[in-house]
Amino acid sequence: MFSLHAAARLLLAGALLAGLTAWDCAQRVLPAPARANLSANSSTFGLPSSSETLSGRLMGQGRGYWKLIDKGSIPTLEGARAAHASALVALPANDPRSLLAFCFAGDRESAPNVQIAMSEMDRASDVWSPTRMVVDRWEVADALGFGLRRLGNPVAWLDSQGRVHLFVVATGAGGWAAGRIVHMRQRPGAPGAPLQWEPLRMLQLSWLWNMSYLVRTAPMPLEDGGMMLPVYFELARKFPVGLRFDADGQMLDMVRMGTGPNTLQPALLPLDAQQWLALMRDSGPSGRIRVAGTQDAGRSWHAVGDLPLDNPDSSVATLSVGGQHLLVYNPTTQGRHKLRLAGSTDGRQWQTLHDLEDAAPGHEYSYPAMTVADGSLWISYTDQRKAIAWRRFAWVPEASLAKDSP
Amino acid sequence: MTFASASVWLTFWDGAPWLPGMEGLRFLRHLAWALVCAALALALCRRLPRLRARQWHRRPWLPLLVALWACVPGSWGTGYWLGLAFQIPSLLATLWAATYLADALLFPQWHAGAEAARAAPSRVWDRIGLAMLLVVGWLLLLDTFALLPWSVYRLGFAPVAGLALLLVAVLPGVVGGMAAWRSNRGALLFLLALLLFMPTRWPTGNVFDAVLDPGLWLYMHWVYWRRWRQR
Repeated sequence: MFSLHAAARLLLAGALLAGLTAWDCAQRVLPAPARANLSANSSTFGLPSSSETLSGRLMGQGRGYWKLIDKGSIPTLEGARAAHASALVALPANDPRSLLAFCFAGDRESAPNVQIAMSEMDRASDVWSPTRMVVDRWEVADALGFGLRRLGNPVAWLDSQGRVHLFVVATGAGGWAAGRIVHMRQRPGAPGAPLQWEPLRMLQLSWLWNMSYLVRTAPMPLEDGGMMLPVYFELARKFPVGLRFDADGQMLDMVRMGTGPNTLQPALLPLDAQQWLALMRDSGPSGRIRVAGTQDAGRSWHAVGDLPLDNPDSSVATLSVGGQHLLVYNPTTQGRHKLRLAGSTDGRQWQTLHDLEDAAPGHEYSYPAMTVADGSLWISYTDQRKAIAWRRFAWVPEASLAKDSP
Repeated sequence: MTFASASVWLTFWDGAPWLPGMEGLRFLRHLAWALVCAALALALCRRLPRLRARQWHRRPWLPLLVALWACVPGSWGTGYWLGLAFQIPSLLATLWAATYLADALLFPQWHAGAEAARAAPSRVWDRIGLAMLLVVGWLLLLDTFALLPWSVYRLGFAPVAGLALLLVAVLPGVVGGMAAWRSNRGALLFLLALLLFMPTRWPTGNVFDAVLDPGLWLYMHWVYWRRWRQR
């Protein structure tokens, strides 16, 4: 039998637990009722939205293709001798800028003076603005209240309110394996006003001093306005992780996409609402692009195997546009001197669409990024670790081809 | 399952992480490192024979100086660099440091009481808590390197994790009453850390970071080893 004291203590403890749990639950956002489906409507990009017709046109039918219409280099940051790891984000139609390009720039990779640089594409003139520094390591450190040793890869995303979010690798005590991810957001301002940034927080992803999570590849937009941000762990073992964010940029969940030990920098590719692939760089001896898949919209993942494409342990970029899948990768087993754009309808079989670079061994073209803006496909990539090169493609549809043909 | 119960269920298991505000976190980071650094400085003064011989452990200005240094904002403060390497101590480590300093500097009579309690044979809850946190730490470490088939750390963001740990934390009081808290200070600090975590989400929004950080976990190995040798 319980004594009166014991019963009172039990009651008190029960009340305490119930109260705190109710308080806790009341503070949380309910997850979206529907599963996180990918954003299937690509008509906002100004491209064909019917996946059947487009994929039929693109792959093997010879009735449409991506035509290279322009190319160049993004202006380098003044005084910077190196630039690497570009990221692209398309802006809404009411913004005078169509596109933002970010990269890290400084004396060299991992140099103390490396900062995050940005250039803007003017929508009216199609000219890149002079590149300027937008994320200063010391300022971010002051805002967060603790030091950052180095800055690295940036990744950008546009939320449902039209604000640009920036995720930047920042290292602690050590090299890239001691990396963490700083989440920053554009400060409110009128469309077209110079972008200012506020650090929101360091993403908390690991118990071990929050170490060794890095970001490199683009987020995948979801139907609920949120996104899935692919990140990776790289201390001793390398494995991919997906972070789900809501439409306002609040992190909802993290899910492991594989257990490694050599897979990193996952690039997400939606096949349909529930089935996605993650194409990954392999730091092991395979010389291939590794693949993980999900059948339940990113809740659980399994290894799928390798793509039949060579890859020299180098980052890839993916994009799904109107049912067609695009991939930019280095098609070699050693060296990053070639860079290729490939297309697919199923994410498994890929056809070469364009050779973006085909140089002699020793050159480096790497770390591609892709997006669609103003009806064009934009690709950016590192050019010899000194600059960021870009290519612009237009989709030439069936009717135009018929007209052009003799 | 009705809609209402489904909502509660979803919130209970899948509620989005409730994260602490950044301003409060800046304050906590400096305070936590100040307390932990001061406690470590005092512990060193007590344990290192050369410093002990000079009676440095009786000089309160030394831990105070160390604490103030950690509170200096910007790169001149130690908190800035400790944050760079180790982010932020757990609430349990911070509370442990606070009580250690209070025992030694403010309330020496508490210290005598604590020493007596430490020697008492009835510290079963402290021993259980220590063993539990050691196991949890190993699970979290294996999870960090994806060596477990499921993710343990991710659970720490869910309301259910805080509730489960609270259930464990109130157990000594429910079973043994106030006497259990008096003789098991570690168990009491564990409960206080959780009570502080629930409304503030300090330090990261994840309950595992509130009750255990890798530094504290390593220290617990040393405590365990020392006790094992003394048996």
